[in-house]
Amino acid sequence: MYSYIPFFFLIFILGGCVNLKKVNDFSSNSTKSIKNFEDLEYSFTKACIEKCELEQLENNQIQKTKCECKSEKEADKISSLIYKAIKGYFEGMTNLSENKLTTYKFNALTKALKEGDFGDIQLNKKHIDSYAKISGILTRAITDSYRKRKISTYIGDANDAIKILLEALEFNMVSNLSKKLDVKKQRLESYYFDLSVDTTITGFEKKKIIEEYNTLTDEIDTRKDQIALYGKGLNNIAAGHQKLYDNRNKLNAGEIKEQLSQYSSDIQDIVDEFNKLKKEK
Amino acid sequence: MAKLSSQQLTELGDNFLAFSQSVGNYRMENRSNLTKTQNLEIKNFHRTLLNYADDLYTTSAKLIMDDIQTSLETIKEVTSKTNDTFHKLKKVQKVLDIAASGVTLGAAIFSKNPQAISDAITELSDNWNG
Repeated sequence: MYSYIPFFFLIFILGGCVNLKKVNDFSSNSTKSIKNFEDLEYSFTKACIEKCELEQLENNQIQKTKCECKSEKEADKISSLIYKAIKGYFEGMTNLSENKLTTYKFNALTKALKEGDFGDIQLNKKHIDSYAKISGILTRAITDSYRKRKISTYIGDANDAIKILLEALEFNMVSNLSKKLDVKKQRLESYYFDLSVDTTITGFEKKKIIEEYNTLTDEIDTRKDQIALYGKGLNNIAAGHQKLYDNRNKLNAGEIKEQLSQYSSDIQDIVDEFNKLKKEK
Repeated sequence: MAKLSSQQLTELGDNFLAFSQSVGNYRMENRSNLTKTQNLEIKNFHRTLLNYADDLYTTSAKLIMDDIQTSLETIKEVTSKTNDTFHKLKKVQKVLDIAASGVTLGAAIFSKNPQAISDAITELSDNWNG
């Protein structure tokens, strides 16, 4: 009877053992998607510089004067602050849910026990291997349970805050930064319209001007698409995190694994689409 | 007057943007009917409206800080705890390596071999400091 106790104990512990792979997939894909912020190649400051340069061009100013973009720099600083906080959180979650983290190596201990001369004490090499294996499984089971508990707590503590931050970054990018591109488009339209109706300009020059205008507006559209995709990614991450939060006490359940897989794959698709747009530029 | 929220500022920016679009379109569509002065005046008016929209978007992006201060602090705190747990779990491997070095040192003492003892102490010290 007593010999069954360790077996039941092992089953009990392994039952609580977590497969955090889905959490890890979700966190690492979220990190990848969030990091696209660095590839947006557009910012409030850049918008300000471009506006200022166009004004100088319109005024036929030969010598460039320095553009004052203090307010825009501040707006970028705030967006960057939000971005870094979100990125740090998901990187931390990725590290903590990584399965390799609790795959401990017992080789050194096994080797020391096998090769050591312990005087009269005789150690059976087969037993050492078996104990090492069991120790590995038990250590992993215990540390994985600990990890699961911690991750559940952190998801619970962070959910409201991370959603607010994701929403704020999405708002700053999609509702503010992207709209500055609409402003730029109108400025360009006005500027190039005047050139296109200028009677002192030849037909050939006008064609060149139209080509230039089309290139610039295409560039604006690509940037807008990038920002929209980035925003979509942030929304998906927020929804995925909410799902994690709702199921934080049953991270092993099949249903949550399936739903998380869906979010991870959607986020991965957005990252791929974003990279495609980046290459097209 | 109550302070405007970042959402309200963006909405105002959207209204200015739509207004400026109408003004810009009017100028382009009626270019031939406008005098040079009228054209210039409308152009400047258009530019001013665009600048308002532009500034409102920037101000809104800055004002968002008011809404996120507490959330930023919460996330920083959770991230710090996550990283602490991560480092704690990473340390388990170090503990195992130190334990293995301890066993090696014990075996070396049993064997009464001075060279083996010296090597084992070095290994233990390396794992401890590593």
